[in-house]
Amino acid sequence: MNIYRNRAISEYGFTLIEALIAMFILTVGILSLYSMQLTSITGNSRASKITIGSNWAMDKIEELIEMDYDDLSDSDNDGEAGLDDLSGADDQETSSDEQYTLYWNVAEDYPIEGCKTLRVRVQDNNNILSNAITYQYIKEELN
Amino acid sequence: MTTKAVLPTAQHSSSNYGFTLIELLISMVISMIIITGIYSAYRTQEKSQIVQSQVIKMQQSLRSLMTFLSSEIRLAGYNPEESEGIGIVQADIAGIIFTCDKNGDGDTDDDNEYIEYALEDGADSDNDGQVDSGVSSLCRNTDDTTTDLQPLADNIVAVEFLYVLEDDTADGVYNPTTTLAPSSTAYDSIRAITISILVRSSHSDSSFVNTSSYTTGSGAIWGPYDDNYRRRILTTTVKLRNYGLGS
Repeated sequence: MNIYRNRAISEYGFTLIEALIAMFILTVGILSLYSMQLTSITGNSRASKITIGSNWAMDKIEELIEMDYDDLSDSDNDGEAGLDDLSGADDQETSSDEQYTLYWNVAEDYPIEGCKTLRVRVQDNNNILSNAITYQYIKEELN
Repeated sequence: MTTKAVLPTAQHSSSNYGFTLIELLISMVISMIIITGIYSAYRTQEKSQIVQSQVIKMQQSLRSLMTFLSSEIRLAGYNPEESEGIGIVQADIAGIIFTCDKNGDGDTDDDNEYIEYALEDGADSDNDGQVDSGVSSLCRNTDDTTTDLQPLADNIVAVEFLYVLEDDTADGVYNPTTTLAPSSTAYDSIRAITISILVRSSHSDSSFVNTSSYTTGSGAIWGPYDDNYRRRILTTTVKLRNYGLGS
């Protein structure tokens, strides 16, 4: 009887260790909410970067369409193989805020004779977007 | 009666039940600390949620406005029946009016064939594309007899329409003349339009100061505004598909 009562008394309440562990688990839970918030902010700024980047690529495509067919030249003569070039691009420029770099390549007579394939790629310089944004346009010779 | 009968047995172990005052106080202090932690976590997340939802709204309205605007302006001067006088009617830094024969019946009297884009009436009295104070809406009007401006997007701080004229120098380099105020005789030599739009968030955020400046398509610089609003700028070029087709 005596033993039974002593055991029963020691079973009441939490020990300090138990309470500490419970608090620790609660903290981990709350911190995970922070990481959710962080993910959503990163996602937002990524979305903004994609919009700005693709907008600029689009802007460049429209400018290239407007250019004279003969003025669009594949300056390094690497044709279709060089369409994805970043370092050896036919031309490149950096945005005024230095956040983005735009590269564009021309492949002459590709995919068919009398056409030029223009591929514009925009990369953000902080590498938040893992891939370059790519736009392509095929310009035909008008005459 | 039943209570009395139970009491003697309960009395013996009564000192083991319940908390002492010290235990109660300590547990209250600990719960206070935890509740404060949870509340401050909730507050920061709520604040950042409010800011982020405004940022989303701002980015979204800017992106949709730009898409809508450029796809419609791209059609300016669409004239399959080769009628007279279809094209840009008026062009300046803060807006544009143009016609197009969308249904190909030879006139521009049908719906959405006369289109005007402008800031709200009186929002930009000096007509420099920048709203005089605060924000305005970019509006669309499709009635050539009235100025019934319908807002397309709100919280517009500034707009700029830059007109790229034909590159007629034939020097093998693409270096067209650009102008913010083309003369009406030059309308026919417009080949592309570079549109820049600056929007800001709907509410100010006292924990944020905007010191950025924004470069437009023409190279003009808007800002820094040094206020508590977040801003986004987008610049895009629209090549007018129905201009410069030769005669």
